[in-house]
Amino acid sequence: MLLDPHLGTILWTIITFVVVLLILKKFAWPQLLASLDEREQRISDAISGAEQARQEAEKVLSEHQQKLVAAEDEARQIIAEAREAGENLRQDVVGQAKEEAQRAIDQARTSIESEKRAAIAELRREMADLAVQAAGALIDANLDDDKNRSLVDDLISRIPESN
Amino acid sequence: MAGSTQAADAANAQVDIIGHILDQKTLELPFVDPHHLLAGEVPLPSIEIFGIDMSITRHIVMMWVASFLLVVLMVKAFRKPDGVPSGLANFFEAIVIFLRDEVVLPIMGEDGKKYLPFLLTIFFFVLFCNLLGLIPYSATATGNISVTAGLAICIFLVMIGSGMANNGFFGFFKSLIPSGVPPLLLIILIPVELISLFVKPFALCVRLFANMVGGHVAILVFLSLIIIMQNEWIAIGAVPFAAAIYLLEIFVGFVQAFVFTLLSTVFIGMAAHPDH
Repeated sequence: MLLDPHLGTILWTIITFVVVLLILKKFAWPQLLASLDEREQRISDAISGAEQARQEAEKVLSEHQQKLVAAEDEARQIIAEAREAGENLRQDVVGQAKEEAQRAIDQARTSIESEKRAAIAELRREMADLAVQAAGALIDANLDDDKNRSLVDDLISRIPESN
Repeated sequence: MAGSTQAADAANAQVDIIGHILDQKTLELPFVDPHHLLAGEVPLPSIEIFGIDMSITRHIVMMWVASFLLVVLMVKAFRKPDGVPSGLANFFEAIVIFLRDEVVLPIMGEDGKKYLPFLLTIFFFVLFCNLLGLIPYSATATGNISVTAGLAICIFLVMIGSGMANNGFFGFFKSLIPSGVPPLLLIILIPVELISLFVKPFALCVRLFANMVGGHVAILVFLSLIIIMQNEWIAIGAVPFAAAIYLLEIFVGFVQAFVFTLLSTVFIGMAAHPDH
C-alpha cells in the first residue's frame, strides 16, 4: 500500500510541478537571478572603481611629491644664483670704487706735480726778473764795478735748480 | 472495502501509524465535524479522466498548498525591482546563491545557468512539501512515493533531454557506454548502463520518499507509545523525544531537498557532458 505507485498522483505531481516551474520561471527566477547578477556586477564595479581611484590618487601624490622636490631644488638654485650674483655685484662695485679712488688719487698727484713744476718755473722766472732788476739797479749804480757783477753772478748760481 | 479495512484496523490496533502516512481521499481538519471536534474529515472529489483515476487526494491538496505558498512568497519577495532585498527575499536569496555558487555552477559549469531555474524550482518545491508536512493536520506530499516518482520522472526527462540536446539522439545513447571498452564486454555493459540510467531517478524517488516517511513514522511511534502502553506517564519521555525528532525533521526537510537537488544536478550534468 505504502509503496504502490498511483498513476493519477504521479500525473497530478507532474502537472503541478510543471505549472509551478512555469510560473516561477516567468515571475520569480529571472528577476531574482538578474538582480543577483546586477548586484554582483555593481559590487565588483565599485571595488575596481575604488582600486582605480586609489591608484590614481597614488599617482597624483607621487607626481606632487616629485613636483615639490623639483620646486625645492629650483628654489635652492635660485637662492644660490642670487647669492652669487650679489657677490659678483659687490665685488664689481668695490673694485670699481677702488679703481676710481685710485684714479682720483693719481689725477690729484699729477695735477699737484704739474702745479709744482709750474710754480717752480714761475718762481725761477720771477727770480730771474728780480735778478735782472737787481742787476739793472746795480749796473745803474756802478756800471763798471766788476766786483759787483761777480757778486751778482755768484748769487744767481747759488739758487738751486729745483725744489 | 475501505470501511471493512478501517473496522479491522480499529479492532487490531489502537493506533494506525501507516494510515496516517498513506494518502487518503479526505482532508483532516479541526472544527468541521461536530462529533469529532479535533479530527473532522472533509471528503475530496473522485475524478476519472480517460480511464485514469485522477482523484484529488490529501497529498495532492498538500502539494497544491505548498505550491501556492511557494509561488506567492517567491513572486511577492522578488516583485520589487529596486535590488534591495527584504527579509523573505534575503532568505530565498541566500539559498539561491548557495545552490548557484556551490552546487549548480561547480558541477555543470557555465552551462548550469540554463538549468538553474529548473533546479531551483525542484529544490523549493521539495522543501516546501517537506516542511508543510510538519504542520499539524497537514500531510507530507513528498512522503508519497507517487509524488516523488512524478518529480523523478520530470528530472529523468530533463536528463535525457539535456543529453540529447548536447550529444544528439544517438550520441546520447553512445555516450552511455565508456569509449575504449572491448566488444565482448559490451554484452554486459550495455544492459548495466541502461539499468543505471533508470536507477538514477529511481534512487532519487525512493530516497526522498523513505526519508520523509521515516521521520514521520518515528514521531508517530513515540507518540503512539502513550496510547499503546495505556499509561499517560509515558508522555514525559515520549513527547520530548517526538519533539526532538520533529526538530530533526525540519533539518531533514532542508537536507533532503538539498540532496535531491544536488543529485539531480549531478545526473543532468553527467547526461549533458558524459566525458566528465
